[in-house]
Amino acid sequence: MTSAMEPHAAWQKRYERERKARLEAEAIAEKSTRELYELIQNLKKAAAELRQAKEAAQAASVAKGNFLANMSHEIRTPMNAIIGMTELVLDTELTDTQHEYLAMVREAGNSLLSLLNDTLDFSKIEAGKLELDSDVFGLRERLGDAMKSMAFRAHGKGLELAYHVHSEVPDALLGDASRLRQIVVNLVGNAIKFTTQGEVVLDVACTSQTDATADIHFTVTDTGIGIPANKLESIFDSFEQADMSTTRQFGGTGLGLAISSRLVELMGGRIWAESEPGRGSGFHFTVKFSLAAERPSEAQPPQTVFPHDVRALIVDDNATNRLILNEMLSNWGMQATSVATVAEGLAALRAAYDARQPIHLVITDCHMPGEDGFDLAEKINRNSQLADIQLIMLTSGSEPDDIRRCEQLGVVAHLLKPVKQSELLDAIGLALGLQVTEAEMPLEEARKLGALRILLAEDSIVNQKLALGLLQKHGHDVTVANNGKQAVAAIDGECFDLVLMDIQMPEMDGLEATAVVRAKEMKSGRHVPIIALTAHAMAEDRERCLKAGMDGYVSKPIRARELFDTIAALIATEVPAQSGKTPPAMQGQATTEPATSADALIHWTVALQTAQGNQDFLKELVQLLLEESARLFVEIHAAIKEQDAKTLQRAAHTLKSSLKALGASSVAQAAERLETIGRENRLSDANAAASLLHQRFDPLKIELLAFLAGETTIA
Amino acid sequence: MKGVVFNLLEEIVTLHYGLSAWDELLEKTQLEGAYTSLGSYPDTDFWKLVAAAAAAKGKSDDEIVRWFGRGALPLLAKRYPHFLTPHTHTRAFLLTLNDIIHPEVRKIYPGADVPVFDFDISTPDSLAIGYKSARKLCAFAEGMIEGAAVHYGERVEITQPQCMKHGDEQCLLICSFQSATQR
Repeated sequence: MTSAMEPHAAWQKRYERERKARLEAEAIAEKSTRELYELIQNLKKAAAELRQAKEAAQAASVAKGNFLANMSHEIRTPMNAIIGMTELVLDTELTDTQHEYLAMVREAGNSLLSLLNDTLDFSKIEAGKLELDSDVFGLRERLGDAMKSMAFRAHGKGLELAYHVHSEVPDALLGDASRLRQIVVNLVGNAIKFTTQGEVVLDVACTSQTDATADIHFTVTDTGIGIPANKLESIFDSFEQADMSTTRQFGGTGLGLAISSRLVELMGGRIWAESEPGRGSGFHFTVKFSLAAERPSEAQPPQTVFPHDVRALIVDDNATNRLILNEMLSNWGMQATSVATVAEGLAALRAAYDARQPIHLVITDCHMPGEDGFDLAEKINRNSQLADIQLIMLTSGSEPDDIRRCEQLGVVAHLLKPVKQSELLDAIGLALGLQVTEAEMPLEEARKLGALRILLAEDSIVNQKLALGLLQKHGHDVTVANNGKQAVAAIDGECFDLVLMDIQMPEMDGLEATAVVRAKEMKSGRHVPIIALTAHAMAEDRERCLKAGMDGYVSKPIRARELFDTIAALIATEVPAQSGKTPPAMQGQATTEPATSADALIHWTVALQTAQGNQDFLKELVQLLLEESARLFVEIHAAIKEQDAKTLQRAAHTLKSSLKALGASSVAQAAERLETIGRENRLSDANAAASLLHQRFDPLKIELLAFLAGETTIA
Repeated sequence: MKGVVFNLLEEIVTLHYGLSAWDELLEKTQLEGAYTSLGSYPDTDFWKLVAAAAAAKGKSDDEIVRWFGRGALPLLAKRYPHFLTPHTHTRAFLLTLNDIIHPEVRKIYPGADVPVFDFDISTPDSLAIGYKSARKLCAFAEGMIEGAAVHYGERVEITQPQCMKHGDEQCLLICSFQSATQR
């Protein structure tokens, strides 16, 4: 059948039908298109609203961040004053109660400051603004410093604090040492907080190592209350502690673990905890470090090997400590034996002597149940067979008397636990008369700076006083500028060894002043080290300072250690003339041996230490002591005459402190007796005590004058 | 140009001259002629068809386009009555072009290139309409306005003092309305 045969009407009908279907299809399509259009419009509107909301949220977050930074600045400035002024007042004459109260103020201030730092850190991490440094550092030394800073707290609670870095762990690493320290301090601090008896141990092992990197596994174990299994995960969340009652009992914001966890994440590692409630906890974290190509300045000297026949005995009631010490000594090629009690120790010493294999060195813990380290030292001293033994005592530093007893018992070295490998090495070298350390200047030594000419540019009077007090206490010569303009003028007129520059100052701020100074130096070719003092704590502020041409950065509140570390680092690198200069005391030209017997009038080594190893400075101090004592004697006699107990107490106290600082302990004792008489208002005894003081002081004065005249040389 | 324009043209040609007349136009212009309302087709197709119709009727292109506009309006009124029913006068209806009708057109025909008119409403009984489009379809606009006037039972007189085709920057249509019964 073909279409041609069909009638026209049928085609017409089909055409109409198709056409109708097409129009309907088009109408449906139009309707759908319209609906689609509406939907798209709604989506666009929703998207725009979301974008707006997002932008608003971001703006709010930025505002919050700025607010926090400003708050931190605003809080830091008064905190600076509170902590600093408290420290200065603590150095003045106070009653015991006042001293106790002010020490509490300082403690509270420091906790507040660390809380502030935590909050700021946490918000920076949350905002993704925290940047990690990447510097070369020595792992053992840094961990040792971190652990030492916790020693006081641990020993105060009677806890054993130890750390053990396995020998295979590489020492020279590239990473953010201060953030690592923060994690360690957090975890160890927590462990100490939640442990009432037993020990807290940091164990550091290397799980894998390539030519370029090392995976380091840190473990902090304690014997504390532990954590229930269902809380092990959530403790790393913000503001969480094992439970709210824990917070009530132990305090704290719970930020520490959250920060540690974020920091570990940033360092590309993992953090987790294991625990059995009641038996203690283990906090683990891993960090992948790059290996440093060069040796950090504070890194361990290369493995030192002692002669093989050095035999050492370790006496410590704590098994972990015995293990750690044993490993250290064995690594150095010594033959080490360890025992847990004094009795066992003495038996071992005698047995070794009888076997004609005498022990040369004893490393003993100071505080042990039953017989302690001092008993051991006494018994060794009393036994002529053991007379050659050299003794190293490990103390917890909580008893001020310990050090004196160590000296009395002829202990070669006393070390604060936990012991750093480097200090133990030094102590053993000293004990055995071996030169084991390299000619490098140790950290402590570096801090003993000579007297510097320092320009302090700071507008706040309180902060001026604070910095002045701190710097002058350390014998530095300080000139003050009240703003950037004055600072620039002062630098134009005088040669300074160092400039401490506040950032926010009227007239001309610290950044601008630094830029001006640096521009002028382009012509003169000089370079005066400039350290920024700022209450800003953000990393960008640090960058701004360095960009402006500053060499270092110290955040307010100024803490002595941070300040002097920064100064020492700068002076050592920036001014070769200073670092190269050997303090006079080091120039081995000892002619007369200074008197060091127990009844010596003055302990010159102590005096020299007070003078930070600088003999010129010591002369200044001696001169000052002579002047001051003359004045104080007048005051003392006047006070006795006028029956003014209070003045007597104060004057005698000041004299006592100065004498003590210079190591004139027997004269200081006489002064102290007068001080006590003043405090207890027993003025009838005052005349006798004063004449005793004179009797002792007069020969001291002769010796001091001889020193000033150059007749005594101190080596 | 949207397919709906071609559909309207086909419908009007068919209405007045029969199915075969449209077939003839397609044959003359050699166009395939399969247009759907939602599709887009070259403007040249439209002008070819207009030119063929003009030749067949012995008229100008503009006259054909104007006739097309007049015829298109009642068809659109049937298809989309809701645009016209709210109004009783041509003027009021025209004033909704920019804000109501053309936006709706864009919703249904994505990508439709509709003109924006420039209305001068300073006089109540007349309306000056500025028109500016690369297509230069002022004649179509005129036809549509006339168609609208018929729809509302009005008479409209349109003068065009400016036209793009004469080199002016835009076309200006001045429309005066009168009620048909007033005569």
